[in-house]
Amino acid sequence: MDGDTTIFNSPGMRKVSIIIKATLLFGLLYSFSIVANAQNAVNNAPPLTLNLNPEGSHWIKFSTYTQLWARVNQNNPGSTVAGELRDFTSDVSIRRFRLGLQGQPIDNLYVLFYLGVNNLNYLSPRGTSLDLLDAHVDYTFSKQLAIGGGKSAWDGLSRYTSPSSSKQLSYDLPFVALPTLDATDDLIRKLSLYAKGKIANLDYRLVMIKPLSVQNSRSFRLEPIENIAAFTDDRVKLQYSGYVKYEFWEKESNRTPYHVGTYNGAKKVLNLGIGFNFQNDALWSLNEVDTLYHNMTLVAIDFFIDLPINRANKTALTVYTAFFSYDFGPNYIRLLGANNPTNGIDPQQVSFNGRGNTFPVSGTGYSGLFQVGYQLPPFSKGLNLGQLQPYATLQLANFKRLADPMAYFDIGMNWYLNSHSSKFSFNFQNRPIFFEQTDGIKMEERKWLLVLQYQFSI
Amino acid sequence: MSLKRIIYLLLFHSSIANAQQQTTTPFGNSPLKWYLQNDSTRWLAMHTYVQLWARVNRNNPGTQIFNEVQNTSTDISVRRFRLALQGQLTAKLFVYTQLGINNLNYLSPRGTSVDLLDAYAEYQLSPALEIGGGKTAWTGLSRYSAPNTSKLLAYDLIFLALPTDDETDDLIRKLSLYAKGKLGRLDYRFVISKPFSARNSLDFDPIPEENIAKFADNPSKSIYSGYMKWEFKDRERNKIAFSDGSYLGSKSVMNVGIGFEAAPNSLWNLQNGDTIYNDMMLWAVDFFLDQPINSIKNTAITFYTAYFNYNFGPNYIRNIGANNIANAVNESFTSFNGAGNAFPAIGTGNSFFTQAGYLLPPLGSLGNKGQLQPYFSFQYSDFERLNEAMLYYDIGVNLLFRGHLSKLSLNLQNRPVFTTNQNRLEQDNRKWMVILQYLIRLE
Repeated sequence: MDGDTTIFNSPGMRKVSIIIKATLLFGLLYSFSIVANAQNAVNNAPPLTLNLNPEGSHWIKFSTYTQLWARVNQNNPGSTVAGELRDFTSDVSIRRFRLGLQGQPIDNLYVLFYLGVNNLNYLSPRGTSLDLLDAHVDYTFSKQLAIGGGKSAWDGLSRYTSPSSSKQLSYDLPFVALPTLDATDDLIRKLSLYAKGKIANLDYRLVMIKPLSVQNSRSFRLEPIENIAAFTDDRVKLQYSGYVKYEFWEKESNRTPYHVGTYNGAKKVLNLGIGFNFQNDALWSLNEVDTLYHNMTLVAIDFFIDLPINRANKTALTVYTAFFSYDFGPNYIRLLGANNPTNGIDPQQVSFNGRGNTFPVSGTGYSGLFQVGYQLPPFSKGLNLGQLQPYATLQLANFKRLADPMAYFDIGMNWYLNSHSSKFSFNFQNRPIFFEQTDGIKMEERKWLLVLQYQFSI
Repeated sequence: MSLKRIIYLLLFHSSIANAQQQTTTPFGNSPLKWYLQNDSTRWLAMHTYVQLWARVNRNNPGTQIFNEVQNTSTDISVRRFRLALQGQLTAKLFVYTQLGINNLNYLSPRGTSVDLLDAYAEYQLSPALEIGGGKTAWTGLSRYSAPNTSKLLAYDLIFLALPTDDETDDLIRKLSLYAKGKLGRLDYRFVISKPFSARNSLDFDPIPEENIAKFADNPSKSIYSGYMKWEFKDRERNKIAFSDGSYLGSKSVMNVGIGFEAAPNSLWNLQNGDTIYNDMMLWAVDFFLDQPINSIKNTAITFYTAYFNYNFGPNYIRNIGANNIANAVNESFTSFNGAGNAFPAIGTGNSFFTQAGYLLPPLGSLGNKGQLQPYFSFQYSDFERLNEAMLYYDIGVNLLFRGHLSKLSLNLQNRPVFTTNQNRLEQDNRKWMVILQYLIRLE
């Protein structure tokens, strides 16, 4: 941080300074939560729902949520901020802000609008506008069939390809489940027509997508690269995706596309799902002089269990595991640094990862994702201090581009003051750093990222 | 007091009596309108709507989608999104704010911000005179120069009636002061606008062209406009700027209107190498008829016709491709129209516009399956720049599930493509565009 005085310039003192700052930030966030929680305790105001008819079957509802991050990142090699090398960066940022309006003006007609912004951090331009993230409408013909369209997060492939970012088990999304993020979508939203429904225990969604222009993506390259696939706009085709899950126990809601990460013991769910995402000629690469086009063919199977253990104590076990088989064409890889805290790189020291907190999250190859969480009993029934939920996430991937497997993990703890409406998440992330060597791209070291998140929703 | 509590109070608390007794919307719901302090003269109201398009376009010649020449393109897009709050804060003071976005399509940049479209306040001195100002769509010239985009007869606007769209305004909004009122059967509006800098327009050309007028970035000039109409039958509301396209049989309206829009020295061109400035001088007359035919069957006819006399300076012409499906052309094959679905809709010269629709009786044995409303529009223009007349037409049908609040429109548009042939701009061929639009509005 540029404001550091000279005593903080030694590496040891810098760490001390980071710890002090992190403590202060935690204190600040905690005081927010006390205020928010106290208000929830004294004020049992109903949710921001307005009934439009006396029966209450027609309604509109407002909602909003914010995710605040305080973070210390052990930066990737060579990362710079404003031209200066930084081994560590600590910052405070708004990971997500959402303002939503949904409604059912008549039976079976459902409309949802979301405005929002992601990654409002200290590197953001002044004036960070709210974007129209979702604007979609659907009509339910029967329980088996609803048809809708617009800009939406309705998508196939896997459970967390349409994640509820405000009701996750972990502090943030599993990015391997978002393979087209920013390439052909806008914060996972796509322009699409969709069909969804529930046939007995089978829940399905099928989506036809007009992909967003790849040229407007940050990762776009004008020319194809030798034997490395990249997204292209050269041949604009429609994208198709689908996901079906079999619900063994309680049914989940399919009103919105978003899949909940944990029900906090309120629901007993066991699902087995399978999905795909396909686009003809979505990527290109160079083969000596020829430009080759590659289909994007992605398939996934997944398993989700949310099992209340003790209803009285509201203890619950959550397990999610998924297997992803991705074919984007030769050696495609996606490096992703969510809410990146740095903005430059020293080319002498750069790793394959790139700057900040970036690491390879998806690509042509295979990935396994494992996530488990356990919600502990309340601290004390009298004190209303909420509940803890330790969790862990692991992604193991064998990407064609890399000579070594990619493994990253998160270990964290959620502290629910009021379920997902007011919660802290404390997360340690450990990621691999790859370097290009003569015999391939290999892992050489690992780095940590520490995030303290406070989330509140109204 | 918590934020939640404040929002709750603002929206729903009993001190803001929810108007259950009020007339219901076509959804059968109570409107999103809240009286302040149990005083029926003070209220807040909100509305939001979205127009979704699925489209197949026969592209103009040479249209490229990135590197590929495409004759036909298909897409899904958000044509419009709006979120608005209006308030009658005192018996005399009215405020209107609206956020929105247009043309969110597959070519849009990531991060499509919702913009402040309208923000204005007005004060009623008497029903004969209200004055207001701010960023607003209040403007003169013609009925549909301030169109109610969610309550149109056709699937989309009449671009001819929006001559400064994006040139000196922002999605038809301008920074203006206005006066409006009703004197007996006369409804009038007069507006003075500070034009937005033409330099920020997509069409701006910093170098004037020989004998072809273009908008100049010539600050400090004002735009003056006015429109008045004589209301022979039922009166229309003049609470907001926007004119409805069809009352769907709920009103019997017959108006004759006349209007103008003028901006001194706002366009430029070269005349034998010298830069000269042209005044924009536009005027229009129009006629609107919305006549219920059978009040039991709720059938109605809607008819609109207008004449526009436009002088922007020599040979001014404007190609418009709304929510353009393409962003590039191959220069060797291109036409005068340019990329995608663009065609010459506005220019110096004379234009006629006519639109008619007929509201059919309700569908279904219980009459609850909505109503069909076939319509057509055409524009005939004799533009100075073109050596042949420009004729485009729309044929469409609305399926009104719940009036204008939930409706599906299927529209076929046929437009001319002009090319230069031995220094003459002539119609070379014609192209179709098919649009399926769904509109949902909560109010």
